[in-house]
Amino acid sequence: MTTLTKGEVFQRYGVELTRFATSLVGPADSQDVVSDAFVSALWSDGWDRVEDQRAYLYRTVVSRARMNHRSTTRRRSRERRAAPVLTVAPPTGEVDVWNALAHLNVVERSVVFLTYWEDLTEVDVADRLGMSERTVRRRLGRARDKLGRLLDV
Amino acid sequence: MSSRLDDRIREMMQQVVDESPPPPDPPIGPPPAPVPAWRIPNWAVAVGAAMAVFVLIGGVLWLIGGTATDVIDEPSPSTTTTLSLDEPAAYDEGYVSVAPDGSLWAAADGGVVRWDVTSGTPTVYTTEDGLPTGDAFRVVVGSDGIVWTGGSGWIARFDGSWTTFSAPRSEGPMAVGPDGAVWTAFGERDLARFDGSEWQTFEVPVSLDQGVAVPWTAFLDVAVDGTVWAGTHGSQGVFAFDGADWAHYTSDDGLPAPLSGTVAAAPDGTVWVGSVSVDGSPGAGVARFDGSTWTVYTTAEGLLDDVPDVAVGADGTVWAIHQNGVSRFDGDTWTAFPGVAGLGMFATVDAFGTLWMPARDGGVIGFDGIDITRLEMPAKETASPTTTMPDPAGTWNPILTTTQAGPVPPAATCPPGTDPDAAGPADQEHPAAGWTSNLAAAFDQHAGRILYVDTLGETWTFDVCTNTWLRMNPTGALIGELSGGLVYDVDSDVTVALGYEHVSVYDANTNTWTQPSNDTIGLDEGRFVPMGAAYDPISGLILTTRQVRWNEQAENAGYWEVWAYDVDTNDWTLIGTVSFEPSQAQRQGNDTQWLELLGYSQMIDRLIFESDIQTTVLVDPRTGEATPSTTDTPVVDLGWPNGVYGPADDTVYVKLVGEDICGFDTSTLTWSACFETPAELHNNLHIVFAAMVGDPINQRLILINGVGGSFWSEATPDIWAIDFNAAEWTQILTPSTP
Repeated sequence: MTTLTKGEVFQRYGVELTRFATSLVGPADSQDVVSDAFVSALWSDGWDRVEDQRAYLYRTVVSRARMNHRSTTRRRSRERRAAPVLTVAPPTGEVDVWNALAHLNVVERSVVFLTYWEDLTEVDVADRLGMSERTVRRRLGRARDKLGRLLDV
Repeated sequence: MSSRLDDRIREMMQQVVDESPPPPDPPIGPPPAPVPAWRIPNWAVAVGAAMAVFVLIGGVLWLIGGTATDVIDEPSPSTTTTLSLDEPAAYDEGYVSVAPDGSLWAAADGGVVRWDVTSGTPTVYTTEDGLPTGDAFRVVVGSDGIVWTGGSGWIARFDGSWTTFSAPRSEGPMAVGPDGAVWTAFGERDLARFDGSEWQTFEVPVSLDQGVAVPWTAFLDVAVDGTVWAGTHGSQGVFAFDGADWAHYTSDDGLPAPLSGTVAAAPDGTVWVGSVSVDGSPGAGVARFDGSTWTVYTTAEGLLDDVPDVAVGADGTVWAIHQNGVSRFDGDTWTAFPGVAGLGMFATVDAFGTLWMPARDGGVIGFDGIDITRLEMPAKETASPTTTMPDPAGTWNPILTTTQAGPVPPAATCPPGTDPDAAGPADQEHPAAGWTSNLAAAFDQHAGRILYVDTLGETWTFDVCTNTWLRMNPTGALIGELSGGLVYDVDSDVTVALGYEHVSVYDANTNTWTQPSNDTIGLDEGRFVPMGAAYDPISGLILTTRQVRWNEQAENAGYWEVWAYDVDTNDWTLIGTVSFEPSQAQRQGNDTQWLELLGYSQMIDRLIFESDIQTTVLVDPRTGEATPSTTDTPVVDLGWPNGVYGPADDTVYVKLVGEDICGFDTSTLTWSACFETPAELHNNLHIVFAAMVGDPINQRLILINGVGGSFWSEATPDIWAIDFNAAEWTQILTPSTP
């Protein structure tokens, strides 16, 4: 196994993880989440023993995103999403993406992003996120159901 | 096949990527210890420095976090959007479990379903039957016939009626041991055991490193000898815990890798583990452990395919569940049944060896090797109407003036012979140290004790006269995550927990948690998030706030609603809105404002809010008059990993990372009632506390569980007290156990 330096790890995965984090917490908080995730993962005691660093980082981002939602500071984001106006960031384009994503939880957003942007299979999504296929299938089904009604498709 | 919905979602993801910012600055160094920056006049600078993470890359120092990244984008004005949040037409099954009487149980969105397998008749249990919420994740049935179900933060026991208990907040798996105790997993490496009254927690040794997936294990099962088996994902293998020691099995021990995480304990003592090939390489299948050796079965031995799930019946029949079929093991050979497909997860086997599993298109299917039986999910009833809220009137509601609190019994006092300054017994049972955003405390003035909810959601009281903890083991449970914290309602003599989704009420006289309504708070599911709360002794009501919408008239400001909650009648009343227009200088680069209700002072009869732009806002609860002040206002950025606040002595105190504790001085209207943190607490320890709450009996501020470390991994169960009159810190409890 080729050992990457921490800088190389960041260079390799920084962009995609930021995109992933954006789908979870929106553009305003995604850099924070990714920063936290990198610092947490790269300097953890077990980092050198991690075999699938990419999956590990994705899971760390999800974990940080969930903390983001559950922490008091991040209640701001949650409240913003929960508030009747439901605005996370300035909406642009025809599809009000942030408004729609506000109705999904972090795991559902994770599954949707990896399925529809990275075109991963359920097995691959489960492996990437460290969850069961059943969970992936169920969360994806719920997310599609919600989005279908929100988008009136 | 790509549907129109799929195309729309792909368009959305494209937009997400298009609007994604560039990656943050690269981190090339560990997070340093908090900067001891107290006594710096500018609170924002101090907190920003304490929160920042400095890293070194190529000889250049980079800054991550801090105030620069705390700037919040201002949403542009928008109209209110009404969105349908209707539930699906039928219950969505999850876990399936067989009871000793042959009935089949499934956890579902909306409740728990029991089938009489003979007749196929379903019975649905919902919140109307005593379940605390409608989002049960799992259901398991013990050999004693007791049914257990649970969701995040709760479990419920069914023995003819449902009884609810607090539980670790987790979406982890659940299993029942031969002794009837329930096991679940939470966090990144924790197991929890519930014997019907108390939770015990056990942590996988750090030396057995795992990933950061939460929950860390997807499947648990308990063997006949009581050993708990936990299957993880990927290369982390399988853990076994016998109550004292941990064992860890990986591919080095003969397990196929990667695993699916499923484990099943057989009645003969063997353990079966399923595995799935991620990259298509051969070798995946099912592994059997006889106590010393792993034996792997693959397609070479007759299995149809990889094995996402494996289930074992009481008769020893082993079923391997594949994506598009199942295989049965008779002790010698495997027989494949292609086409008998369920969801591929959460299967179970009954006493006759029949396999039951969730069907792809809803319901549950059973397969005995010959025939397929189908159990349909019952239709879901229309959700009951939600609470009706009064319309915003645009004016300040006079209810806080016209409603009067009832007579209040005398507050408790310390009995003769007790010494509140003497340390409590070191060997006493106490809440586990730790930190989550759900920790909360409130002082019960009638009982003279602090009510505390710990990281497991368990209820404790702390006697401020003897400095001792008491685990309450209440009837019922606090449900859901807290957002507004705990508030003691003096008038009604109950403590109210305000959560994201539910209100829970604790009655110390009966030691009972109840939910006054099964509905979520407010008109729309999940849309009423109480932000801070305070008891108003004039009206006897609990006041809280929520953000409603961004102010469409004031382009860069939002506004907040103040609501009153009457716990006696379960009525919510809109009082009015709070808004102020900060100057550009006040914004300091932050385009928005954020208000949180920290407390109330009867001396000045004002609600005390803080804003994230260094502004304290005092609100007259009788008129709604809001007075902002920027004088020495700390940035009380209350989230992870920042500070906490707590009411005490007719005002509110805040604790910031690396800072002293300061209270709002109601005589000078400044945050100047400060207590310097002792030096011994600054050594990267006790940078914050799990909870702070006033002790009016002894005129102290009680600080619960010091927390330190870069990521809250270091916590101590110590209790400190600050004497308001002497300005002295006293350690009133130093438990001898972690």
